[in-house]
Amino acid sequence: MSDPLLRLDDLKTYFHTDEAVVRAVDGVSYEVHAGETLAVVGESGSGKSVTALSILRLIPQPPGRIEGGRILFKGRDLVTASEAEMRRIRGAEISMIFQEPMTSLNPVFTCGEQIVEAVVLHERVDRRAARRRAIEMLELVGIPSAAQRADAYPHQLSGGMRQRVMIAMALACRPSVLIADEPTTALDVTIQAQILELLKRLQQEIGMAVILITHDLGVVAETADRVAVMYAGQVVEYCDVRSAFARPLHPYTAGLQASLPRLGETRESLRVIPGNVPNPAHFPDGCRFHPRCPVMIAPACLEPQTLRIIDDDHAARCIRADAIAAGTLDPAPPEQERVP
Amino acid sequence: MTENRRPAADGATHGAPGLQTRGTAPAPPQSPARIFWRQMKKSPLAVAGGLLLLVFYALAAIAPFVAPYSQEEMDRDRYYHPPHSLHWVDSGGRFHLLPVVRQTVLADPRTFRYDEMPGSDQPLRFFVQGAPYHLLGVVPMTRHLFGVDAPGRVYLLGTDSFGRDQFSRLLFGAQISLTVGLVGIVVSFAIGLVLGGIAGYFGGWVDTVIMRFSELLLSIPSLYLIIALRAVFPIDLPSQYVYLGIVGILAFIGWASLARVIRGLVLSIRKQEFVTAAEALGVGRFRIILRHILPNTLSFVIVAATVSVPGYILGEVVLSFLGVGVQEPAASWGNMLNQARSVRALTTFPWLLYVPGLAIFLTVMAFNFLGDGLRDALDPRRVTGGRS
Repeated sequence: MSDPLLRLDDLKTYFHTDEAVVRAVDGVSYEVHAGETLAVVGESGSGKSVTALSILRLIPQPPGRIEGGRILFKGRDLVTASEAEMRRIRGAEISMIFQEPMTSLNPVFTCGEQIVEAVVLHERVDRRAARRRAIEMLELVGIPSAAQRADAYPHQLSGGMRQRVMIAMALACRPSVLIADEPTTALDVTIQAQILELLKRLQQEIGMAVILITHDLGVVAETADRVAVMYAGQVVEYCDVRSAFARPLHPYTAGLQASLPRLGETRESLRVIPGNVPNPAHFPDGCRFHPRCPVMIAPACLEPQTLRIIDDDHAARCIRADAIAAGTLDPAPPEQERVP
Repeated sequence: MTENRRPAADGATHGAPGLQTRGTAPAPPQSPARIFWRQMKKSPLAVAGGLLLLVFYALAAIAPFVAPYSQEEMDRDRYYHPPHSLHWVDSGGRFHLLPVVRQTVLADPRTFRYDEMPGSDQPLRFFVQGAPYHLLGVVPMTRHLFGVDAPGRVYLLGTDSFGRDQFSRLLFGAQISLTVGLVGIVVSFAIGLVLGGIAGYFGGWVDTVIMRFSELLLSIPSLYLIIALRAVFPIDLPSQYVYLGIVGILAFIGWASLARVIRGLVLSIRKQEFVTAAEALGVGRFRIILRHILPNTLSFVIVAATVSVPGYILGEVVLSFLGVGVQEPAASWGNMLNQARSVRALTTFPWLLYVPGLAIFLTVMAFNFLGDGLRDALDPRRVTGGRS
């Protein structure tokens, strides 16, 4: 395989609060190649968004700080890059779209103006050419009567339209990496499908790499090439999308899938992973999933685990992954008693 | 992507513009300016206040033309002259469309009682010749809007202790008193916005330094601070420098409280996602403050500016009233009011009080009404009311 476009190598982002050091991102490694979609999956608080913000170095500082690791983008380490260099990269080479289309556009400027700003910031074009580009981009993301909509204020557009404008803005300079932080979470289901479809189409047209952050396994199955499952600030499973669904090797991934109700299945109760996401200020010692893990064994799971390759290209952070891979151990959580 | 029509063909195939917007938000014909106007029309007091202010500022701009005399011209025969009464019927019993004024003589030098001389009718005329001046500072002119033929005099609002026309001084004084507010607001809001924006956006020690300094300014009684600062300048400065000095002093004190509010607003705005989105696009920090954060405080700033103009006008009045503001013979509403300090002036020559007093009162009220109306019209919840 060719060199990855973007590679995270043992990235650590900590927040130093008055009470404790919050290890929001604690040794995350993943990579993404051109034209590929990497889905980063995990519950809220698992550190997936902080990882994304760390890539663009947008962690609020203080209290946040990148404590270690490397972010290699086209061979450059973004952790040590200067602020000016980061400003050139943001928006032009790595773009990001956000969860809330309602609040991620500036309410006092028209949509067109905001795209124009993105363009003139990074390219030597006059405003008229930038406006033409803005309208082009709005057409590209499927906004009807784009020239007219360019003069609309964000509050005059629906949520789906706004998310399209956000995408147009993020892609206006043809970045090579797009980070989409839960781009469809705040949208209606029908609009969700449209936006995902749009991202897929644009990815093929522009040939960029996409890091899709989501907690929705349905979205992952539909769009991703590779999956990184995050739990408590760490990647616990890292593989291609097929194996993630066909043969999860980490009990957490297995639990996530088991908790997904399936169409046509009659079941009295929902399967859930017992317990709660740990407080990021006080992660459990050893394997961070062990208090909730159905196949936990003492004392081995009380030791910290490493992300290791189990077979082929499939890595998991679990001491019992070999047994799970061999099919001798069922990692799914047990059926619950009836939930009223 | 089922309903995604090809956008380019959209306008061409569907002639009716209404069809294009089907299924999404309505077409955007309403700019914020239009919404603003619609809201403004709902508060007639605010519109009236705004119009009154427009008239006042226009009159101040063309003061030398509207005023029949200059601000320094003294009539040594008519100190403390009461306002001339206007007669529509002259001594001969004939009716006039334009009123006539009767010339007066000093009847009692102790009480400054003036009697009208019968038969001394002087018709009020438009565009009379008078003292030369430059309109708006450039156009040389000698005609004044109205007046009576020399040697007759007309004092619509009476004269002061030096025999100077109060009406003319009111107009010339407006040039100072009305602009001191605007210039002061511009200066202090520029300082307050930038410092408040920087403090709120950067936080940390920058925030601490700026905010402690503003608190220092706020902790000193402002009147004391004003007089102390005024004492720094020599007392006999030319009046235009005194004017600049007053503006500077008032603005220097005024930015502090504004910066604190702006900082608070910025703190909440910078947490919104569009700021992070702008950062993710590679926008620089100062550009984010100036282009993305501060414009979002605009509706607050416009209202705050409008309601703080009276403070500056009154500030000038206070300074001039205390004798450290605009120096005689230059007129300002403050030093006009200064003449009405004695009990005798209040009882015998009440026009010395009510002429500048009423002007100040009306201006302050107009600004407050306008500010109230603006607050309603610019209410962000109403302007962005389309949120779903």
